[in-house]
Amino acid sequence: MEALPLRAGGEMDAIIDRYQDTVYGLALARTGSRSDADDVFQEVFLAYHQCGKTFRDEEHRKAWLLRTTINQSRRVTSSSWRQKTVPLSEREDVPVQFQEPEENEVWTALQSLAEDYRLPIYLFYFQELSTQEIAKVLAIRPGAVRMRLTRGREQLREKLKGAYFDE
Amino acid sequence: MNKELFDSMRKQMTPSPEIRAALSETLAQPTKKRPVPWKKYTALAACAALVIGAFSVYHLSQDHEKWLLITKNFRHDDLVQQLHSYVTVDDLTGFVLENATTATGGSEGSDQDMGMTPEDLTTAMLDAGYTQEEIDEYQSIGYQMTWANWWKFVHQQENSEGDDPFNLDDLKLFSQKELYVNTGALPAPNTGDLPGGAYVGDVPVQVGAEDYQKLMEHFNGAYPDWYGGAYLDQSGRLVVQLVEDKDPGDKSLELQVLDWTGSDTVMFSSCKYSLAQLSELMDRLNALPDSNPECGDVMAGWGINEEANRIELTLTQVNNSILVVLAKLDPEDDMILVQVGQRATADVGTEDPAVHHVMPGGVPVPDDEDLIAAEPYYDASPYDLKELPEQKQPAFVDSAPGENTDTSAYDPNAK
Repeated sequence: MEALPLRAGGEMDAIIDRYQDTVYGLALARTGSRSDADDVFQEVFLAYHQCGKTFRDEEHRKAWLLRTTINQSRRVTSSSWRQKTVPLSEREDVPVQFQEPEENEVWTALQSLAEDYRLPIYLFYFQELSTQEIAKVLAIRPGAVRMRLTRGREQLREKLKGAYFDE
Repeated sequence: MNKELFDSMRKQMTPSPEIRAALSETLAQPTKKRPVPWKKYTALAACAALVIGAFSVYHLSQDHEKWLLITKNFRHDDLVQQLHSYVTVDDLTGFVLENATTATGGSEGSDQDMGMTPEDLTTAMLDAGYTQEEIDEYQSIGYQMTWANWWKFVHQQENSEGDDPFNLDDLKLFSQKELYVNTGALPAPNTGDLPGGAYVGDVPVQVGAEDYQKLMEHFNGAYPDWYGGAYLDQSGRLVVQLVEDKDPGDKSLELQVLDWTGSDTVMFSSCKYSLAQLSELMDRLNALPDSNPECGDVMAGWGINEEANRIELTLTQVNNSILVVLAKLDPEDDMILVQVGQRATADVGTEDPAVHHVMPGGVPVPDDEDLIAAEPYYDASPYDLKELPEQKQPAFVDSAPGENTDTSAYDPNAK
């Protein structure tokens, strides 16, 4: 992996290329809407560009981006303006669509989980973060992460009726 | 879990090329300067001004007189003119020493707590049931008992539950709490009277006076702010008044005074006003008769009572005009004791401090005349009107016909 400057603001294209899927995927998992994920995606990298922060290492930068993504997602979904308006564009109403039916089924089951379980499941299975990294991003104890993963997995298995699980 | 499935899904969770391009375009634009938050700065400046203003007012309030001047403008009372309080004295037998600032210059205020002579104390203790031995032992300690404190002790003991309320230990304990304590040496017992209410004891009056003179030599005419005056107590010891705003735990002033006087019998008490403040007010009172004749007409006498830490002013009669002036001079109404009554003044050093009658309006009665002319006393002895002093003769004595007392020649039949 190419070394990038640890000070925020430089080499933005390379930084975005490296982390855009991570940021966008988490935003999508958290908000459940592509339009909101688009907003969060832009806000996160704008904040990164302007923060002027110098990171200790690449892990630190990744953790900062994930944490900022969660914060921006919360800000977007909890704004009173958003709660009181009805989207007009077709795109905002359309649910996230994947290519395969089983993918849509898994996504729907994932979105039906409570946020406390949804985010650890996403970060663990989709982003392949360790429980320690998830605990740092979500600012909870690793034991809590493991507990949420277990319960989230059980709920997911129940919703999917055991399908798509490697038993 | 199915890893391939999740990998496939993850690859589809990417931003659209349009969003990616829009982000690149946004980042390529020069960073907009954040607008200057003038409202925030204005609010901060207002808060800072408020804090500074409040601090200034608080700082100013440390000088109480200035604070009073400020608050006075906001008080409703000021619209209704403030009047100084006064007391009416029917039988004013004492006199105020004008400009008296010496150690013995206190007046005989009737509201002062009178001290007990040793004889008084002996009699009182015997009445309470103390033995002569106990009395001797108590008096040898030398506490300066006053009548007020004695009756306070008696009342306290009468209401106590003990079988023997009047025991020596209780009296000692009471004295220790209520009577002022010397700075080291025990007070000396009183043995006799002196004119003016002071008593001669083991520490003679001259010692207190010498202490006072030594103190004055150090002041050299300029009284410090902490000095509230001094007086000789009834046993002749010097009592120095210290202004009470000093730190009670700081004994440096007491040690300084003891060092100056070289005495260990000097005692200390606290007071509110410094002698410098009282003297300044005295100067203003001295100037008042000239600047305001209406006030001067009713001002009979005034002087500093260092023991009471105030100025005592006697008025022949009271009117709103002088009370308003006095209220302005003494806003807290405790620096001047205004007494209204027939009290005259006597300068320091005047041989005869007898009461000088003051007629209404403040006009003194000449000393060489009687205020009320005595009726001539007739003792039945004959006197000749012509022998009376001219001014005592009736106005008609020369023109009135003499009375014919001869009845022998009267004849009713005569025509």
